[in-house]
Amino acid sequence: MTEQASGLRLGTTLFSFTNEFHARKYTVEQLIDKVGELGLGPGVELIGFSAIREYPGVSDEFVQMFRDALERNHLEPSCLSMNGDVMIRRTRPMTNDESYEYHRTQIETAAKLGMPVAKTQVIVGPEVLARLAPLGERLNVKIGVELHSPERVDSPNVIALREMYAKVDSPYLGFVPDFGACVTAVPHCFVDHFRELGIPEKFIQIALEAWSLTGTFGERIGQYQERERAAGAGDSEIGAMFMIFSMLGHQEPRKWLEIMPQVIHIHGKFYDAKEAAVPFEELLPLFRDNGYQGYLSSEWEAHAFTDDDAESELLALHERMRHILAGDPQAVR
Amino acid sequence: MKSWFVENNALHAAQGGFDLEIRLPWYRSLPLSVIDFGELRINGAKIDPTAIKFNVNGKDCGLSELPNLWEESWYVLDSAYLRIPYPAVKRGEQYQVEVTIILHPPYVPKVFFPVSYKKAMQAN
Repeated sequence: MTEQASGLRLGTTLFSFTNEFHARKYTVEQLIDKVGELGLGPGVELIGFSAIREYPGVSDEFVQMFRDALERNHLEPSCLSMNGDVMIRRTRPMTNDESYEYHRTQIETAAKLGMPVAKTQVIVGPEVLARLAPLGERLNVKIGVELHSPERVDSPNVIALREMYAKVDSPYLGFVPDFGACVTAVPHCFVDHFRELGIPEKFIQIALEAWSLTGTFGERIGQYQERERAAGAGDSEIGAMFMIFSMLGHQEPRKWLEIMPQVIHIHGKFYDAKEAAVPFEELLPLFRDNGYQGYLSSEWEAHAFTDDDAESELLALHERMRHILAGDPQAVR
Repeated sequence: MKSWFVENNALHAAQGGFDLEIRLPWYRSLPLSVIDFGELRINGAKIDPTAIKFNVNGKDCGLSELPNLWEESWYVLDSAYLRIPYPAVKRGEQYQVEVTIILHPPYVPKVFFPVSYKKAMQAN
């Protein structure tokens, strides 16, 4: 690869540090310093509804703190993670006008923070996103829809967005692939968690087998429930393991090529940096060698199952990613 | 996030009962409208849910009011309190506390996440 074509820049999201932030061990400012110290940059992504108290708005003090912290650590703003909270009212979904306004404030916050990308969710739908494109252009913030499991590049909701993108043809609309959509196996922390919950091993094995089946999301969860019930599993056991279907997809990595020109940010989701389940060895060269220009945020999500800090996992993943990008893949189990 | 919901030393003796200090067991702030509570038991006895108050941002509300409060948020770094009526609470005494919170993240319709806690706690 020539240097010129290598437009993939590494970074992390402060979401990786969810445990230590929630435990009040570090402020946002201290976490940015940590990203700098640990060499996890240059990209810094944050979740508005986590990092910023006054979100969807943002105070001038926060903006100044954020910009100063990035500058002294030689880091760069990469992405504001927004939320498409269409169901904040329990009685009805937001109207498209309400959803537009909800996003407008968030995108204005992204612009104040200097974020080149603001990420939202598939649930927002094509109509609102098409309306947001001119706002993104005016504020110079690209709006990206996260392609998170159970969505895939070819699931119906995503096809509807791709059709709209083709019509609107705006460089301010794009996608944010999440690597959780293309894992090759269920990471061990999920299985450990199910065992800790006391779910019988035979039910766990049925879930793992059903997860591996081909077919649509609906077909696979149908098979999962049918097989578990036939084996005698109850609703609570079936419900507890449902997360492997919603959080982990097994789309082939090469399917991302279908939307490659529209990829504007990447979530490098992982659970154990030494585990092969998320195929970084295949994914990183795929994006790097097919014209991707932008950041990849490492996104450690095993904090869902542990109170541990993220530091050692992030260091290990970034070392692995640097080896891969240098053409020297490490052995992973 | 394994043990985020109820922290150690979170059972505070208060006027007419307890203030149970809780944290939001989620990675981001949520509007109060997407938060429910399941059964709350002290020493095995169910507490009348209509007598429990939820307190965050310095304001009290009844549990049944939560679904309407979509403009009020619980920020991830803030503690909230369940104000639980209970007779003759004594500091230093152990109480068995059982509480469940149910989160309905507003970006994933029809999916909810219950988080339960059951432990003997010393009132302070």
